[in-house]
Amino acid sequence: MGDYMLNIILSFMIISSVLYAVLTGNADKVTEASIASVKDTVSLIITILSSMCVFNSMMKVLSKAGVTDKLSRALKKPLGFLFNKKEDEDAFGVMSMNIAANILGLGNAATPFGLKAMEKLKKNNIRATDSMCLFAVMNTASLQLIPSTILALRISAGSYNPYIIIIPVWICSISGLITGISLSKIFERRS
Amino acid sequence: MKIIEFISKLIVPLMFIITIITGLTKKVNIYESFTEGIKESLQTAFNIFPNIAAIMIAIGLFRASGLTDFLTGLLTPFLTSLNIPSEIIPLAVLKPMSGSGSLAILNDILKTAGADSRAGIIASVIAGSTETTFYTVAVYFGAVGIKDTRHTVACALIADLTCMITGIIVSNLLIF
Repeated sequence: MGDYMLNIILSFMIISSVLYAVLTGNADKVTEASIASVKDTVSLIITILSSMCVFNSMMKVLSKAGVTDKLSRALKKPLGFLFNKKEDEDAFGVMSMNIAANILGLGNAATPFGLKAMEKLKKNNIRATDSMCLFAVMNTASLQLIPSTILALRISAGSYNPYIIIIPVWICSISGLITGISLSKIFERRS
Repeated sequence: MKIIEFISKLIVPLMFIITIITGLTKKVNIYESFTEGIKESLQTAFNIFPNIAAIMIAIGLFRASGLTDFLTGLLTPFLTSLNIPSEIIPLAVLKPMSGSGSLAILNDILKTAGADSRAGIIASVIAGSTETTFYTVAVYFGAVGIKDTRHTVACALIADLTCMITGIIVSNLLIF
């Protein structure tokens, strides 16, 4: 289950889009749209790379100073509930920094920490481990205390009460997170 | 709220200072660590580019073809019968795929239906609580060179769907 999920989704999306575009007389848009997407990816990569350079530099200093190891040991108990206590322990430090950055809405910092954590979780595995899947799922359903971009849009649209959405956002994020974690755990047992 | 906003603005400057001071007291070579960190970042960016580009091509085609509008049209009668505002459907369809695209749609809903309307509030809640799933999965697994993501996409998409359903229910309960 899920083995070639991305493979199937990708093929299905491309085939249906191209067919639909041709049938509705938008065939000329296909070339343009596909090339523009890659162009967008280039600028996206530059954005990610820039923040990675800053935060990975800090991470290097902290890990050489032994801080991330200490943090990992301290978090062995709480994160050990969800992840593998023995195998994943050295990733706990960066994982916690990724989770903290997500909650504080520091997306620029969260991604570099998250990617470092994936590397540490991977070790010598060729396949995606249960922990890697769970960690990625948690990152697709993370809680952000202040959804600042959304609030900014609401304020600029002239809302009377832009902040009314904050508590509903927390409730939704937590329900999504719980669903994601429980489902991952169910899949883990079955495979 | 103001306090949390204040803290989140200060956290990165503080991290810089704490990092450098901790490094210096432990006699870490700061310059060397920075260059190593940057070198690793270049490698990671190089590794994730193919994965993101592949996903972005599919998403770009999907949006440009007009399929999002088509799907919206198909779902509208069903959802209006459930008392769900049809404005939010393009957002729900696009959110797992594109962060900037869904923000553009949210902005559009806020401007046309109004930020304090039912559609405006539900759309804000959904946009604030879900993530750009495909992109995140592509980046996270691309960075470690793994193509087979097993159950990740399925779990993440069901989690997104839960967020959306909860978003509609909670907005209706709390606000109206």
